[in-house]
Amino acid sequence: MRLETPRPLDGNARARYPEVMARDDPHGEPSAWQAAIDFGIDVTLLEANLERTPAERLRELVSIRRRKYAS
Amino acid sequence: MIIGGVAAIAHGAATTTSDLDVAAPFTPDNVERLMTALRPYHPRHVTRPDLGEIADSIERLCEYRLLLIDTDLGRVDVLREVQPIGPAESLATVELELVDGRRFRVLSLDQLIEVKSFVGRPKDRIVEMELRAIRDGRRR
Repeated sequence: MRLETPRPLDGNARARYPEVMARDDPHGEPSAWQAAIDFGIDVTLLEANLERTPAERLRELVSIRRRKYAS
Repeated sequence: MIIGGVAAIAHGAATTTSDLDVAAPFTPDNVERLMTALRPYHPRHVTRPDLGEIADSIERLCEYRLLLIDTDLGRVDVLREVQPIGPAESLATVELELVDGRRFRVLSLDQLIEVKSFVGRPKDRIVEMELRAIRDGRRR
């Protein structure tokens, strides 16, 4: 097994993992991402959404609504 | 253009919504196209379900400040003006591919945050926080 040396996050990873970036600036203003966490928002849902395209996000909404009305 | 909860979801918010909010100038052409699109789904005024399907003339519908329409597919709210920004013509939009490869105009993330902040109901506050987090994530 080969162990890889941790690398700095590239631009894509910085966008995908903003909560990691928020922790990188402990002396600055609380980030909006951290504020959302403090507010009680489940940011893992946002992370999952940000991995999807807008069309995929809407398909998920339609799917949720169909399940809701079917039950 | 798409505003409200569906716009928020298009931008990445996680809070679901049960209606579609759109903004458009209430021109006869726009309102006629809207009603033609909704007619197969039996559009009714939300505030006057007792009247049955909407039978107002296009000219009459153009006079409304906003149209709150119930359909077989769900509710559609159509606004000619979005507070606190202004008339539909003045809104900033982005084009996103949403359905079947078709691109739609969606209220910009910045203005959507402004609208949610202005409205300020508890559910809007949650979406506002989500959108601010998403914007924050994009900037990093």
